Amino acid sequence: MLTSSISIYRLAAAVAVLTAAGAASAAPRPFDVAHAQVAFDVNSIGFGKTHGEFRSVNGRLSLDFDRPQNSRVDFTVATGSIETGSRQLDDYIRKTFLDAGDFPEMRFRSTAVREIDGSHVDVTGDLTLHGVTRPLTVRVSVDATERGQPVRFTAVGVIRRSEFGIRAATPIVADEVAIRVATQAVPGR
Amino acid sequence: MRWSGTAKALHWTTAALILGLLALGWVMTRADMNAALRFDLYQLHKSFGFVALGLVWLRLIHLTFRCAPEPPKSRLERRLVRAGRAGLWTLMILAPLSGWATASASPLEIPTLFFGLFKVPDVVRPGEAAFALASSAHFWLTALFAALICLHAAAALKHHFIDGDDVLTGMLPRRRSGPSGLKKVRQDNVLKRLDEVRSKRF
Repeated sequence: MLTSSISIYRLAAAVAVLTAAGAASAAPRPFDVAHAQVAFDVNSIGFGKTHGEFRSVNGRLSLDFDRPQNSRVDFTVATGSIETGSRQLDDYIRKTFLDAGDFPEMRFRSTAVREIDGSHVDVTGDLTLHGVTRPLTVRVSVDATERGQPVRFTAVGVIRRSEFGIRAATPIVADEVAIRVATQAVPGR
Repeated sequence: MRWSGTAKALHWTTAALILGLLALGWVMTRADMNAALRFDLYQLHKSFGFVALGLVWLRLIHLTFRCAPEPPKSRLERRLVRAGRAGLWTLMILAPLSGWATASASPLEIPTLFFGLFKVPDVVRPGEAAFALASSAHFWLTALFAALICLHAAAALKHHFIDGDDVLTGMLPRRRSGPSGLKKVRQDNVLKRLDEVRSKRF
């Protein structure tokens, strides 16, 4: 299940465009988020690597290709939508690690975007997970083909779950969790 | 000497369960697989482990009403049989109990769901030390169990092929001697007809 809500951002962007009319040549453009995959990998001693994905992702993207630092991203993920391939493992992670009942959502809001090279940016933002908000920087590779076509992004980062108060099953299950978000941005109509 | 049908059914059901559990336990702890499959296999192992524990309990009750085969003539054999039986019974009880303790003591605190239906209570508090003790006990007990099962099977085969007695066949499902039921009625009719034909001709 993938839903994208964009109206607020589109409105904000429209207002920005109107108020800054003539002053700036291009304002950040809102994008629809499509095919968003939020995946994680975590190692464990004796049980191997656990790979999971979240099926319910709400994303808002506002992109400025000329000045990437003006781009913004805001993702909300339903913690209950976790899928690992085992329903019982999903239930276990929901209850023991994510406390999905108390914390049904996790959210990432960008605060700064730094261009690394033509196809990479570092996005710094606030990640709210398990009721704790902490800064997180992810490296995003941008695969922009042609104007008007979907732009593909792949963001990778690592979080320490203990920093978010998720300490269950340590040290058998590793503290470091690799995050990978892949998405396509479709130009807003 | 033959065992009762119930004794045979209980013997072979527990045998199948125990062999399956040993194989599953080996695979789920050693084979390379993703965590989701491993998680499901652990849950399956735990669920079938409880089925085995329940059946062993039933067998223990049945033991008091069973008709056991005659003890062997030689003193050494009698001792071996007694030791083997005591070992198998002890391990049939201790192997699942140590597994239950392992699942309960695991610091992962994974609930044991009996075939996903209900949560089985924990018998030990979770903790590193308790888990290390319980899991190594479960491993060595089941390893010993596997070895004893091999001896048990070897002894049964020795009785059948070397001694030529009915110890092995006594535990096998009873074979029907000759045709029975409808098939028998039909065969009788055919024989009767044959007799009539014969008596007419001669």
